[in-house]
Formats: sequence, structure tokens, C-alpha cells
Amino acid sequence: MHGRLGKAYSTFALTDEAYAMTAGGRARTWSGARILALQALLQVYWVGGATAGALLGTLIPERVTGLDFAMTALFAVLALDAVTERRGDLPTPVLALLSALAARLLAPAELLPVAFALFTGALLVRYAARVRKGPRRA
Amino acid sequence: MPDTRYLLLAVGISAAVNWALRAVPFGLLGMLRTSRVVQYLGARMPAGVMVVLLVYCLRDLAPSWSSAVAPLAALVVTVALYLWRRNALLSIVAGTAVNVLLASTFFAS
Repeated sequence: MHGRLGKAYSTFALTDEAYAMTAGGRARTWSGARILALQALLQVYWVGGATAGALLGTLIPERVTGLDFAMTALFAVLALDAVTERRGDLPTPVLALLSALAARLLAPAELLPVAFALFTGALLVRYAARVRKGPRRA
Repeated sequence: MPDTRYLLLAVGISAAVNWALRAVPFGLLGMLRTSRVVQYLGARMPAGVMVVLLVYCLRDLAPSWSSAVAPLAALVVTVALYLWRRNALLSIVAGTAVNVLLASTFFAS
């Protein structure tokens, strides 16, 4: 990326998609202009999508509720994909589920940070246990 | 006026500290990439994080059973449909439709 303006815009418009597409090895041969154009396109799509959603949202009658379930469904699908990709590794989703339920019971207001901390801690304990068992098994 | 050796030493040390400070993040990144603990966590994090986020979305489920019927039924539809057709858009749209239908009619609060 060359030029001050280009760099400033590029860091400002660093969306998830822009990162995902340019962090790969193929993007190394892309020119700065191409990456800038990509980011501008992604920004238009983000802003456009949000605006369209807000405008369409006002058309929905007051008594229609439950559309927020789309978020839950999205994470359900992503979780199914991520878990089935690690078929045979049942402890990981089970530990995550237990961490999340424990956080829900113990610290409902801080569910996410507590759940992630518990899950990371559980994985580290699992790793330590495996490392200790490793040499004996070998 | 300090002598020349002192000045050269001062410039040399400043340059070394300056360069080291800039290089440290790259060194740490390299260590993180080759660290076996980080690789172990990296392979298992995505599945766990998605499960945690799913529970987070359903965190308000418990209070009353009548308000939990719609999201639970919608979740069953979403999961079953996804396991059957493996189509993310179809599952999300159908699951949300079931939730909206149930939550806006039979189980409206």
C-alpha cells in the first residue's frame, strides 16, 4: 500500500472481509490499487446493507417479533460446521458448552468473557495433561 | 562537551534499543506461530467459540417456558435442516421464519 491517503483509508476500511481476502498468500501479488478498490467495494456493501436493513426494518409491523433469531440460527450453523470439521474431537464442544453454561449461571452479566476464559483455561489444562501423558505413551 | 567515544556509544545504544523495540513484535509473532500451545488452541478454538456464541444468543431462554418454546422449536428446525441439506441460508431463513411465526402468534407475550 502506497501513499498516506491510501494507507489512512486502508486502515479505516479494514473490514473482516478485507482482512480475510488479503491475508491469504494469493493476495501478495495484488496491487495497492486493487486492494483499495476491493476495500471501497466492501465498504459500500456494508454501509448499503445496513441502510437497506434499517429502511426495510421500519416496514415491519410492530407485532411481528422474533426476527433476531436470525443471529442465533447463524451461530447454530457456524457451530455445526466448526464442530463437524473436528469430528472425533468431542471434548472441545463439550468443554465449550460447559464453560458457557457455567458462565451463564455464575456471571450472567459477563457471560462472554467468563465463558471464553473458562474455555481457554480448560483447553490449556487438557494440553498440559496430554503433554504429561505423551512421553509415557511413546 | 562529552568525548567522541561517549557520543558514539550513546548513538549506538539508542539505535539498538530503537531497532529492538520495533523488532520485538515480529519476534513474538514468530514465537507464537511456532508455539505448540498456540497451535493446539488455534485448532480447537473455532468450534468452541461458536458453541459459546450460540449459548450467548440463547442466554435469556430460561425465565418462562412459554417464551422458550418458539426459539427452541426454531433451533431444532435450523439444526435439523442444516444437517439434512447443508444449506446455511435455507436453515437460517427457515429457522427465523418458524421463530417469528410462533413468537408473533401462539406465544406472543
